[in-house]
Amino acid sequence: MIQAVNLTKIFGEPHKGIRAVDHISFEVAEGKLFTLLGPSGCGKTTTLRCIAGLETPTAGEIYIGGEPVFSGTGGTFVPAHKRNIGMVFQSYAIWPHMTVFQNVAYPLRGKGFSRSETRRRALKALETVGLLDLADRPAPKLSGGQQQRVALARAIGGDPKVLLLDEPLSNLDAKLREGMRSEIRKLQRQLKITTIYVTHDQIEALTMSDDIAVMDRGKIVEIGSPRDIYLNPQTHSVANFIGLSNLIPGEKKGELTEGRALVKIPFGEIRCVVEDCLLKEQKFFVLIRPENVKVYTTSPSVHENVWTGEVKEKIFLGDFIDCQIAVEGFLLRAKLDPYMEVAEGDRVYIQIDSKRCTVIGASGS
Amino acid sequence: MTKGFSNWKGILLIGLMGIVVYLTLIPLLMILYGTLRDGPPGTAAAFTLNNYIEAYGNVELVGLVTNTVIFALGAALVSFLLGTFLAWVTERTNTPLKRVIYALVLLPFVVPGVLTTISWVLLLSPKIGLINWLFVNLLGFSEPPFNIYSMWGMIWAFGVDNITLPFFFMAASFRSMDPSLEDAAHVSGMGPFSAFWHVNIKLMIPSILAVWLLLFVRGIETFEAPAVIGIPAEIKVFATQVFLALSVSYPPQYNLAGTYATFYLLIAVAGILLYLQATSASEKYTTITGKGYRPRTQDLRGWRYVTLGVSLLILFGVVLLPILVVAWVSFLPYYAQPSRHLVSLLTLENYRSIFDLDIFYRALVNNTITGIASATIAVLLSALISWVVIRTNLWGRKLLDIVAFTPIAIPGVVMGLALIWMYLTLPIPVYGTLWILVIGYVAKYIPIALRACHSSMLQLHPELEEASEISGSSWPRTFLRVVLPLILPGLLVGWFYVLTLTFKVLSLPVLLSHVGTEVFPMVIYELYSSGRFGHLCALGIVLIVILIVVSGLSRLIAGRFGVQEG
Repeated sequence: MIQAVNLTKIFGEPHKGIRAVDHISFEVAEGKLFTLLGPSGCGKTTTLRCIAGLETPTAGEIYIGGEPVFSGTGGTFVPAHKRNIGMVFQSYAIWPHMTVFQNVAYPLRGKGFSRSETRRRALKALETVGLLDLADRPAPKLSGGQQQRVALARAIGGDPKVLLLDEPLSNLDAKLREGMRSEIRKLQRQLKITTIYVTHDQIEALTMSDDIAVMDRGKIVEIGSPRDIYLNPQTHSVANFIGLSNLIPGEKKGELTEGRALVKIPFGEIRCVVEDCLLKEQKFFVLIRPENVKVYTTSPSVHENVWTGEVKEKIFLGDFIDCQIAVEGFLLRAKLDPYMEVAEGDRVYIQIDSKRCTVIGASGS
Repeated sequence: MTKGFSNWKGILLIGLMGIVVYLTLIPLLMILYGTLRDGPPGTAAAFTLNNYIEAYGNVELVGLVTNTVIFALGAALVSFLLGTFLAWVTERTNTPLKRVIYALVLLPFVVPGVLTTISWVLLLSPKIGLINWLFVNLLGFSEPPFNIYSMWGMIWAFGVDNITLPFFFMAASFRSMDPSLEDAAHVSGMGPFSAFWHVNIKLMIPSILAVWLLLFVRGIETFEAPAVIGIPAEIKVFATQVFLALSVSYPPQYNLAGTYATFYLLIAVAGILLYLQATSASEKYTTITGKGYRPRTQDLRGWRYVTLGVSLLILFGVVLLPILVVAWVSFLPYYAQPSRHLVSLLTLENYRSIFDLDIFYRALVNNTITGIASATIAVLLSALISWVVIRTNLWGRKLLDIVAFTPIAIPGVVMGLALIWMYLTLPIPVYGTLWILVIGYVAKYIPIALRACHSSMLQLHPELEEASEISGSSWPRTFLRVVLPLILPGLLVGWFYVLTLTFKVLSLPVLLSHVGTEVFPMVIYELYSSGRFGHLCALGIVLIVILIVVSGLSRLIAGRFGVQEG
């Protein structure tokens, strides 16, 4: 449905300027929610603005519904107002001189719908976001959450082919953000509208997306489902950016059954999952998520991947204990059950399930 | 589909650039051309340098430059000292009745400069001045102590009329000073005087410099005081030399006037360039951030009644007294020294007779039409220019901004002369009609409307426009439905300001308006020239009432159209 091919945007002079977006390609299938995730300044918003037509790319191609809307070589540029898209802006951009209804009706009138059809569709859109009773309120007299909903209603009112969301939740407080997260997701599924979502918040990305593209310094580092991105990242930077992680340099000692291998690490040898494509390699980073480091005060019954260590630091965070454990001088981070009673300086046993422990190629990092 | 959208912006830029160049630069080039010709505009003439030789080939030039600069600097000093004192009193002390001070400082805004200047003649003229009369008859002076017909008189009359500008600049400067900067100085061990010098004054230097330069340029540019006081006193400054070359000699010496205008323009441009330099320097200081600090006010204890007294005395003397004397004279049957007998003769006859004058209604209609047309065109052009300058990244947008800003440095009489040259040469029949006034006002006041638009446009989040574009709206619809309504409050402020100026300023119409195309400032000046003080003062009071109504309306409407914040 949406396709970007070798998309590049350089601000300033072509050769010396800032490469905000650097040869990125991706495809979003019909009806899917695709997320561009990355730290601020990584080029995700610029990518979105290129797709919207608010920014003219320097090179590459963009297709919406199979039709080219931008082509660097072919000289095609369809302006934003002819691309038939809906967009929610980071600032919401609700027009303060109009009422809620007028805000939602504006794009419909612009698209040439009759007065009565505009009214029907605008009211339907307001109903969808649950704001029907506020239709006649002046836009500035709305709370942040309500403005967010108006922006959403305005974006979907004209049945656009594509919905673009630019950090739509970043201006809301934590509670509201959680509610809106599932609401937007539900709405998107219900309307089956192809959506690109830009965020720097990994929780939003993981909970809402069909697919995530992780961006860094203008490039897409990795594209995958939330499950793949989190459980089985392909690169060091993605593993580091998404969630907490222990990344331990290691060297392959031998292959085991069930796609596993024995890897030498600074504090011994560890059994872990190695994907087929990495079996030829010798050097890895072993990825262990802190929640997969099991900690025992007495010797555990399982004997695979067990070490002893000393608790160096613990921070009680309510739903878990964030803990640093020194294993033969190497600091390992672990997430502990909040009821567990450990103190700094305690000797503990740690155990890691070999199926929950994976490797990342050292060359790709 | 091609890249039509960005090309379209380019065409808009070129179109606006064309209009602005036509309005400002072409007329100036016409003057320059005229100074090198030996005949009036529109005639077959040869190139010559004689005009320059005639104008500057004698020692008069030195005197002309000296007079102009002394007058401008002197008036700037008077305005600056009074305005700064009042700003300090209202912003940094606990003096009572601040609202009254504020209201009185604003009052000169609704009084045309030509009227204020004439009122100082009525107060300080050695023959008919009321204050001189008081000194001689009540205080026993042997001769009148004051003479308005002097350089000091000119400086005083223009200086006190101009206190509003330094007051607002300095008040903003006092207000935007972060009190924590002063705290930091005190904590670092500086005494109050040392802190005041090293922190307050030094931080304010850029804004002080900016106010001075602005006042200086105004002094260079002003026509009213030099015309009303300087011409009879034979104090020559550039503004009146240009005017006299055209109006006293017959046939008018267009070429000579242009030669004066060229040098005159150079001085004004130098002032403006220095001003731009100073303001860009002041942006480096972070004191003026627009952040809402609440500056600490000084507790003056008992002295606050002294500051109040001094402030009210100043404001009575420089603001109320000129209006009161105009009101007094407007009720007199004939001009005479005050006496008990005269009080019994007070009459409304002057008002009755000006309402019987054709010229009153003609000026009212002309002024309303040209004022509204000029304000509307200037504001709409400015809105488009402002959009191109602030919203696009087109090459040449900064140049557009600069060219549109140049008229700020073009004195009114120079603009008038330039337009005469242009439309006597080009086959466009606007000379002698109201259109030439409209063209002049639009060109002269675009910078003012543009500043108003810029500040509104900068506050407008670009996503508000992008949301409209995404919504399927073409740029014209976005501009009309989203941009214009949202910057409307700023536009209205600019609109009313320009309208008010057309009712007040004499320097532009003095050369451009003729029999049939009179505007109010011109009528007042003509009544003064023919010595009809009673009619002049009655008309002055009526005009003040009109201007009060207009500014009242502007506040009402600007408040009504302002977007309510939630």
